[in-house]
This record gives sequence, structure tokens and C-alpha cells, in this order.
Amino acid sequence: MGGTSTKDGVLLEVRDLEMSIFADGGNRIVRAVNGLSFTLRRGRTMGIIGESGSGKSMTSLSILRLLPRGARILGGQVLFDGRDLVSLAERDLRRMRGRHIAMILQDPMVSLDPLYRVGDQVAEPLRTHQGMGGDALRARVIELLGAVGIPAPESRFNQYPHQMSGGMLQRIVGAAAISCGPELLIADEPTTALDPTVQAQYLDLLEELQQRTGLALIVITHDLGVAARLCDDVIVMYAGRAAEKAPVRTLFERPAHPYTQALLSTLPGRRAPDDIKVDAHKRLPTIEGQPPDLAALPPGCPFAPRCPRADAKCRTEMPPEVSLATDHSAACWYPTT
Amino acid sequence: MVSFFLHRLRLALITIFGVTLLVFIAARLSGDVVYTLVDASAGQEEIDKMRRQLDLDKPVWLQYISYVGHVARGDFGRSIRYQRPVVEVIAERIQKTVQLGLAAFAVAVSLGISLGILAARTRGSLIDRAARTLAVLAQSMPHFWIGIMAILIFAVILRWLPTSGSGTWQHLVMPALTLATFPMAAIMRITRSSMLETLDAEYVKFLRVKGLAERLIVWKHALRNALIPVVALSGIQLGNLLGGAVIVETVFSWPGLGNLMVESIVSRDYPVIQSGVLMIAVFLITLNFLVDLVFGVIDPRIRYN
Amino acid sequence: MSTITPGPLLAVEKLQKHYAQSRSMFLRTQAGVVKAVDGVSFQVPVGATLGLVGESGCGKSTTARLLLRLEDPTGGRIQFDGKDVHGAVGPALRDYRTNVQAVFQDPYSSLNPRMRVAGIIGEPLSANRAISAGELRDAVAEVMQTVGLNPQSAQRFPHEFSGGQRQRIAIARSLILRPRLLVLDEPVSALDVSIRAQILNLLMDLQEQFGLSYLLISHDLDVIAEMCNEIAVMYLGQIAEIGPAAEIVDNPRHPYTQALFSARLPAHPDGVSARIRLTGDIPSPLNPPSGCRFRTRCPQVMPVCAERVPPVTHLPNGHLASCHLLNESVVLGV
Repeated sequence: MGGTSTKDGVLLEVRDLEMSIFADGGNRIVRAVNGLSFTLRRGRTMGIIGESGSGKSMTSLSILRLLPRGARILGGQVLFDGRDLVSLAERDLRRMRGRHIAMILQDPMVSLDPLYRVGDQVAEPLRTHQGMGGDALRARVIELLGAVGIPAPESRFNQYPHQMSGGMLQRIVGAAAISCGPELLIADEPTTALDPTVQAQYLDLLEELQQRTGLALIVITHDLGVAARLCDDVIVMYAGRAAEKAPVRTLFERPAHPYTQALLSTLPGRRAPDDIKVDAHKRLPTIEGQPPDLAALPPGCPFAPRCPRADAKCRTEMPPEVSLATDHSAACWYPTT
Repeated sequence: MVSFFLHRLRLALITIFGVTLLVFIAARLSGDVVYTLVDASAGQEEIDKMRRQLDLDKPVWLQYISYVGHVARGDFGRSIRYQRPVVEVIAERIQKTVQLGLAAFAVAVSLGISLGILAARTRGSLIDRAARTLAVLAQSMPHFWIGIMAILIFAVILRWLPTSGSGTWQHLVMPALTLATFPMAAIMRITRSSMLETLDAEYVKFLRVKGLAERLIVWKHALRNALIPVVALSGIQLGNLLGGAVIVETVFSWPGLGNLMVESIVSRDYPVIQSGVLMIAVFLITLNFLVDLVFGVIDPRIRYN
Repeated sequence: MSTITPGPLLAVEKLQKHYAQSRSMFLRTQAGVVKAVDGVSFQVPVGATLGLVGESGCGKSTTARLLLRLEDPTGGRIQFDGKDVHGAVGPALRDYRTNVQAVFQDPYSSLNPRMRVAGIIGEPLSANRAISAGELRDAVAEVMQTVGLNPQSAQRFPHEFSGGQRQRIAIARSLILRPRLLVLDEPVSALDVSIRAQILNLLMDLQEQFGLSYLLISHDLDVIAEMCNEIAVMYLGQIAEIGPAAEIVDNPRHPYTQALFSARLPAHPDGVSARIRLTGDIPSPLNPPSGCRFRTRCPQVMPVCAERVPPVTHLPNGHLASCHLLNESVVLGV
């Protein structure tokens, strides 16, 4: 995109995004995203971390405005290269999808139409957005398949999804995503049971894609380890809000929000090796209780019912986002400083 | 694809062989035909003579072999009622049934699929609800009732169409539409639900992510996937049409195979019944074979397996 | 820990499960044998946890199914408490099934949605023993308390519970017959991070309280490292390496184990280490590679790997691995 912004310029700015899902004919309002703001610079990698129901996936779908049934964006802006995607006409937004903003969905095994050849499915964005066709298109697709590390791309072009392994399909989906040279790639982390080797390959792929094209990356994940491995900046989400935003190193070394601290402490198996099974009575630190019901959020801080630091104020008043340092903030009345 | 084709073909031939056996056994179990062929006053000698003429005194397995042999040579015997070769009797009737069936099937498939897509695309709207209500009504009203009401309204009161018989295209309209109601409703409902399911699939979401036009997503990708169960059901419904045809042909005095079967059962014209059943079975097996081939064309997963 | 007595509770020897790929009636398919589990040996002591890791298709789930007697092995031996399980029928088999219970991955599909929780938890008991309604109610209440569920909620349905609570229900059901061994097949994979630790702690508490033995199957190496005394690493139906958890985690000797554990996510941005990348997909168990099964993806492959099956090498601390690299005469070319 021939914008005037510099390499370090802001690519995406989300301001006070609010999204709700109206279920049961509007009787149940699930408040999925509640006033989320963040900024992503060109070429950077942002991790959005949260458990199920934290609003991390809904945030990524809101950016592309691919909302589930009954969902509505109630407020806020999504500024991509200065244009507000929330108020953009559907036609114009469609021209952004796949061309300037690409996305990789959770499960590569079901992300491709089983009835069409994989080559054709990688070709579709090029056909749609750049009007390519014929031999030039075919050559470009084969080039892309080779670029994402698929051996013998000419013969793979004509295969169907069911003839390929999960790792291969992941690469095909990656090739389709970067085909038009997008500035932003949103990667929804696979949540289904996954082999560590396949997961590592997936993260390698994301890294390769980024290095190849210099795109900015948003990784949606439940695992802080993914953030440690891949991200420059991290947003920890809880109940549709940003509990904490920080550069990755700051987040691991000086977490300010009690939820972030608790999450870091629950990571199993990442203690010193000699700790393992030395003490049979040793137990993993836990976060007691359950995440809140998004259709009946408490008035104060949503984490208050599970928070060891919570007092009366936390239970009645929503904490504001407190800036702790450059690029580091936490939504907490009593952040660790 | 070739080995897939051969595999299906072998299965079809084995099934046809099984059917000849079943038809043969069923005919032997339905009572002693000889008594329906001779006068009530006939003596034992006359009965025995008739039995010998029809080879019914031979062992059963020999009878079966000679039956299969005749069938293989295209000799289906003579109709007892019409005193003509069964092949001739059935051939002229089957044309009429094919005409009626194909007309009804064309209406059912084209209307059923279009309405199903329309309902799915406008999910929850007035159109969707109207289409679904209509489908439930169409599936719960019996053929004979729809037929009689149609005759009453369009032939007797409005006088737009002839009440019964065959000959002109006007004769075809009411029986074909009556016969089409049930399969149309069934096809519409499965198209709707299959389309809805497909439109919710992850790969459709990924097509949207890629920025494809909605028309491409619906017509190129979603529809082809959604048609897989529709093809399966359409095959079954075409088979069911034959059952419906028996009633519709009777209501509209349409001189087809269904009508012939009813007459033949009443008069115990067993060569005709036996051949008619075999005919219908072969037709259904051929149909299943064709449906399988269509599956292979649509779905590479079946083709390459 | 006083309930723990020495000696293996479960001993598995050269366990084998081959599926005959039958020739189809009409199509010319390759007749062959899928070697899903091919000569697996391990032991689970009383009160200890053995972890089974490996990529999907390595045979760890088939091994679990064989242990649960959901399928019959085609070879090898399973001994439970010194008794052969393979030929067990009638009361002996029922006794074994009482002693060995399972908890599966998905707490959403493993509980019958139309049954009340009391019915789900009590079913193994009411199906196995003549017991009065009052006794059953008391037993269900007791086991619910044990796993941290409120017995007051016994009359509710599974959908009224969260994922973590449902897994507690599944654990309660597996405990009601007072088994001695639990087969845990991905017990926390479907749960959120904050709930995962609660369930793992519960499992540790139960092990200590009842002296239970666990066979834990998981793709999550962190969970395995946290929970297990011993770890067995499987590849294509065979055990590549087995030994005490600390040995396998800190001192893996088989290239596959090294690659697998190097794929773990770091606990800190500074912990991002060089990863050993495996190329290619797992070969088909229908036609496994000759010699060492891992050789097609091994970064340190040698000519001998295609020719000879690597023998089991006994390393210090009860650590076993099957790799030619560990055999000095081979490495030095003697």
C-alpha cells in the first residue's frame, strides 16, 4: 500500500472497541469486547493472550468485521493505515481482506474447501484482488508454494486438501494468506490438541512469513510461551478488556496486573529442573474460581472475584488503565510497580 | 476414477442378481398360481396339465435357472390377462411413467434446490419461514388428497385442465405437480439445512478472509459442498416417485406402470407383476449407480479413495 | 506416602497390536499390516506416574486402549499385580476392569448429557455390584467431595457445569470403584490454563491420598514433565527412549526425544533456544522404514540406521534408549 507512513509508523490503531453478541433474540447480551484500545506498528508482532471467553478471538474477528451471527460492533474505531474499518462500506472492506489484512484461522485441516485443488485456493485472492489469471497466476502460485516450504510445488498444486498432511495444509493456508502481500497478518492459534512439533513448525512458519514480507503480525493465543517465543508486545485480555499491555520482556519481568502474575505462575513444568518431583507435596499455583459470565459482568473489576488483592473499591468501580512506563499499562487499582 | 466406476458397477450387478432371486422366491410364496389360471370347475387333470405346461412340477432350483435364463434372453413370459408378451405390455406403460416421473422430478429438483438456497440465504426472514411452512404442509398431505383437490379446483371449477387421462401436455400438468410436491419439499428442506451448515463452515470463513465476493463464495464453494447430501436425497426421492406414481396414476387414470401394477395385482397376472418388480428394481439400482457416479464427480475425496 | 509399596503394579512386555489390512473384495488394495504398537515394554510402580509422549500416530492411544482391554493385543504380555491380564475372562477380567479406570480428554463429549451427575458418577458402581439406593447415594456423595464437587449438585446435568467441573465429574466416575490404576488420556488438554493447574493438583492429591498409579498420555510436554516419575517417548509404535523424568527432560539421549523437547515453548523471552527441526511427516505405520524407524527424519542419520534395528542401550539411572549413536563401536566405525 503506497502510504506515506514510515517503516516504524503506526499500521493499526484500535480505539475503544466494543462488541456484543445478542443471543436468544436479544434477551442475552454477551459482552465479548469491552472498550479495547491498542496500537500496532508496521512490522511488529503483537500477542493477544487470554483464556476462552477473554474476547481475544472476537477482537481479531472484529478487526476484519467477520462477526458471528448476532454480533454487533457497538462502538469504537479500527484505524488501519488511517482508514476506519468499522465505518467502511462492506464492498470496500472486502477489498481490504486478503489484500491488506490477511488471517490464518485456528484449524488448517478445515480451512480449505475439500472440493477444490489447493493451488486454485491459493490463487483465489490473486485472481480477486489483482486480476491475475492464466499461466502468470499459476506460476505465481507455484512460487508462493515454494516460498512457504512446500517441496515439489508443481505437483502439489493439483492436489486436494484430503491428500495432504496437517503440516502441509498449514503451509498452504499460509501461502494463501500472504499471496497478495498484506501489511497485517492475524494468526489465530490452533486450540485443538496439537503436537509440540507441529506447533513449533507453525510458529516457525509465521516467523518466516514475517521475515519474508515484513508484515505486522497479531498472534491470538492462550499460551504465554507463544508470546515469549514470538512477540514484541503483549496484551493480556480478561473478560473482553485489556488487563495489561506491555513489551514482552517487561511483561515477563515486571508484570503489574495480578491476573498476569497469576497466569505466569500457573505455567506448568517451566520451573528449575531440579524442582521436578523433589517434593511430593509441591503443588502448582492456581487461580481459584471461574472466569466471569460475559452476559452478567460484575460492576467493578471483572477479575475482582478471583483476585487476592481485591477490596471493596475493586468490586464496585471499574479500574482505569494506568500507565506505568512507556508502552506499559495495567487496568488495576493496585498494580505492582 | 475408472477403478471407482468399475467397483460401483460390480456392486450394481451383484445387487441385480440378488433381486432376481428375491422376486422369484416372492412369487413362489404368494400362493399356487395354477389355481388362478384355471376355471373354478377344472378337474385335477386339467390342473396338472397346466402345472406341467408352466414347468411348475420341476424342482425349484431348476425353475429358477430356467427363469434367469429366460430373463437373460429378454423373454419375460406372456401376460395372462392381456395374452401378449409381457415385454410389450410393460414397454408401452413404462414410457408413460417415465414421462410423468421425469417431469415431476425436474420440477421437484429445480424448485426444491432454488427454494432451499433462497431460504438459507434469507435465514429467519418471512421468505424462509413461508418456505418452511409450505414444505411441512407439502410433506404432510397425501398424494391422493392433493390430486383430488387439484382435480376439483383446476378441472371441475376453473376448467383450465382436463380431469384425467393422457395425450396432451395439459394432461401432464396436474399429475406431475401432484407427484412433485413431496420430493420437492424434502429436497428444499435438506438443501436449506445443508446450505446453512456449509455457510457456517470454517473454509467458508477463510474464503471471506481472503476477500472473495459473496457470490463466488455461495455459488462456487458453498453450493457445491451443500449439494452432496442433496444428490443423495434426490436419488432416494426419485425412487420414492415410483411409489407415489402408483397412487397418482390411479387418481388421474394415467396409463403408466403404476396403474398396470395395480391392475395386475388385482387380476393376479403374475408374469407381469414379477417382471414389473424386476424392472423397478433394475431402475432403482441403475439410479443408485448414477448417484454414486455423480458423487464421484462432485467430491474428490470419494473419487480418490 | 505410607501406602506405597515397592514393585510394579502394571508390567507391560513386548506389547504388540498389528491390524491386518485385508484385501478388499473388489479393489486391488495393498494387503499389509499396520503396526500400531510394535513391541512396547514398560512398568508402572504402585503410586507412581508413567508419562507416554509422542506425536499423533505414534501409538500412545492404542497402547491405552490395549491396557483398558478395549482391544486385544496381537502379541506380548500385560501383567497387573503379578497376574496375566491377557487371557483374563469372567470374574478375573471384571476384577481387572474395576482396578483400571480411565479419564479422557474431552469433558464435553465423555459425559452423557441426558444423565444426571449422580447417575453418571454412580453408574460403574451400580452396574458392577448389587447395592442399595442409599449406599449408592452415599458413595456418590463421598467421591464428589473427594474431587472437590459439592454433593448438593448431584441432581444436576453435565451442561450446568464448567469444563473444569466436568473433568472433576469424569474423575469422580473413574474413582468410585476404588481402582488402583488410572489411564489419563490428555486429561487437561481441553481446559483453560488457569483451570488446568486445578485439575493437575487434584490428580496429585488423589495419587497421594489413595496411592494411585497413573499412566498419563499427553502431547503437552510441560504437563508430562510436571506430573511424571518416568517418561516413555514413543515413535511409530515403539519406545525410542524411557527413563526417570529428570533424565528424559534434562538429559535426553535419543535424537527424537531431543527434537521433541526442543520444540517446547520457552518460559521466558530469553529462553528461546535453538530448536532441532524435524523435516518431513511421520512415515506410515503400514510400511515403516527399515532399521531405525526414526532415520527418515533424524538429523544425525548414519548409513547403519537403514541396515540395522538399533538395540536398547542401558544408560545410568535406569535410562534406556534405542539409538545407534549410543553404541560406541558403531559410531567409531569399529
